[in-house]
Amino acid sequence: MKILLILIFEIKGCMVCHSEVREEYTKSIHYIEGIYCDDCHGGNKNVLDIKGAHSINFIGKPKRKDIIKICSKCHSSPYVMKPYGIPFDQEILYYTSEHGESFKRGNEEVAICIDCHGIHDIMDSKNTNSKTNSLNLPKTCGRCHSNFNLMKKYKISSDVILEYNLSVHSERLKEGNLNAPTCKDCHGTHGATPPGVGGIEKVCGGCHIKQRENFLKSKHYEVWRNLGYGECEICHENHFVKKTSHNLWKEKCIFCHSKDSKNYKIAEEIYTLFITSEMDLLKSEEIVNELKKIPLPVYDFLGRIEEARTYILEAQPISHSLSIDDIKNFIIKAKSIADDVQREAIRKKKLYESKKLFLPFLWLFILFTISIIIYISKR
Amino acid sequence: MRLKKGAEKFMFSLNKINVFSLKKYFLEILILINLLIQFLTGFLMLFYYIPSMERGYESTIFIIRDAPLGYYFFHIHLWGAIFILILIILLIFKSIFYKLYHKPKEILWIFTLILFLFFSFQYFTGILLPMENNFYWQVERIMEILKEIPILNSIYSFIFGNFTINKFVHIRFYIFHSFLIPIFILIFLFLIFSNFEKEKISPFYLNRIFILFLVFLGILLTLSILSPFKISEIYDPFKTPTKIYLPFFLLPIYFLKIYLPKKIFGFLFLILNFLIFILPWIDKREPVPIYKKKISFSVFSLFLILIFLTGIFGFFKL
Repeated sequence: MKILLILIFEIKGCMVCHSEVREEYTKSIHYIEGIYCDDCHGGNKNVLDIKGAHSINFIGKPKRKDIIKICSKCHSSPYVMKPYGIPFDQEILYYTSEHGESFKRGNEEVAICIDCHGIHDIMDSKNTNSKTNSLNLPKTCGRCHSNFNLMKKYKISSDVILEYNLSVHSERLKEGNLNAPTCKDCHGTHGATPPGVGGIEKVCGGCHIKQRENFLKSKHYEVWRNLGYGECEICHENHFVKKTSHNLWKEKCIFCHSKDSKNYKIAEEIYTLFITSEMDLLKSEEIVNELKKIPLPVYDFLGRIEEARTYILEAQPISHSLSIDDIKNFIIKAKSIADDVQREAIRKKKLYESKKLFLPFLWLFILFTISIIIYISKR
Repeated sequence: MRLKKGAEKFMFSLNKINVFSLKKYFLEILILINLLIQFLTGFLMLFYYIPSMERGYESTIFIIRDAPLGYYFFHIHLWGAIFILILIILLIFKSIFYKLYHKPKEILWIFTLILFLFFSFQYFTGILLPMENNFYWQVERIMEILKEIPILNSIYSFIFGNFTINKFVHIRFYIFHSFLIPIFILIFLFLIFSNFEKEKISPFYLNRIFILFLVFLGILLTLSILSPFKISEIYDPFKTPTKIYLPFFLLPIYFLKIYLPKKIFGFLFLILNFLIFILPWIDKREPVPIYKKKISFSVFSLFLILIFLTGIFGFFKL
């Protein structure tokens, strides 16, 4: 039987007996790069009897505490890793993380290499089937972090993955945008630590640069920092980041500011600024769409509406500074464009409809020429 | 002096030309005027139209929206197409009514029917060209009817390949609509009008024709302003509109297609057509107008009412 396997399927070494691992292992990047069982498990792959194979430096199933050492044998060596273009500081980084520190203290329950990367079926993270690919990462982290009983011990919320899955970031990821942030983009990979107070705006600001710039100008920045609050997540949540709408000005500000206060009125004013400009744009768009159906030329209108929309988009990050004058600068531009487009489109439509007025003149002209022809022919 | 005299001579010769009586050949002359308008508007639209599946819609929109007077050309062309079909059908009924197909004029009858076939084929090929969704589906529906008529379908698939619309079929439609059929129509018109008896009438004949032309153009302009054709989105083979319209002359046929079994419909259609074509050889009685004989008049009017009713039912079954 063994000879048959060797001859027909070209299966050699450990795989001859350990067929249950074969399928998983042959998918992995290690198999493709030629790393074999004995590199981790020890033993002699060239011998086909059990005693001989399980002889030299044989480890067997490694203990959980030894696994990091086994992996780092290659993955911390610059000589081995350089040719693959893979970083070799994962072990050092791991020990700085919450996971690593806890592991150092003797807690073997925390995540180690195999919990995230898999045991035998370790794939390149660029592979979409890989456990560490951006698309699958929430699931991988969720294996522990949505386990209520496990998280209760460490006093961590077990809803984070659920919240993330409802967020706009996850929505973008599901649409296929691999640049959308997953767990690793905020928390890091091997040095996984939650960004603390005073750190989150730097994490968010990595992508949302303009928003951060303007937030630093606002009064909230200093006040919240002195009080020891968070920053971005106060209004936008940390994991459950919803798609922002202008309603946020009404929903969130009321948590801290009373309805009669001066500060709440500022929020209301910003809200009305945004909403009225959006409504104006929608109205002008509606009229332009009517023209488009007729059909009349609307290229210039479409371009200008797009311009107005970018002004409103530009005003949104600026609204983080809470200065009404700065926001108004952009909103007024958008509004005036929308008004202009509306006026001109209505004028164009009226001009088109005035074609009907041309009809009586047409028939008068026809009657006139007919009468002239008849007059000439009768003379 | 000499120039003036020459001009007078020319005008005189124009007015004294041997022509067809306006009263007797009113429908024929209207068709000619309409055809002239169709040729002119179609010719001007050719400058802007791009014969391709992808850019046909775009260029049609360009004609309607941006080209100078393109709006009028487009709508006059479409309204004119409907008018010309009405006129030729009236002409057919007229020649049945007055029995104008009797002995020396059999060939005229056949030419008229062929002209009707050409005009309806022009309609069929023309409405695909804008590549607009409603028209596109109208073409698909006409193809469904064509598929079930035994000999016609094999002729169609010999010319166009098969019953699907692709870029090759589109370009063939374009060539048929804008080059081949217009040339055939001109040839047949020449054949028809060279057979007519010419009569000497009023010297101001051309003036009356011009008045007719003006009035007809006025009607077409009024229609194109008051009820222009709706141009919706670009064609989409996966997006069927809720209601697909058919041209009015196909409604009775559509009604028959729905209520008759497939093979019977095809054969009935063919046999009816054949009978209409050989009418002059079947009906060899005296060429007396139908209204003077009670039986044939009642049969004729019953036939008309039947066609009208089936057309109406066909419209509600769309």
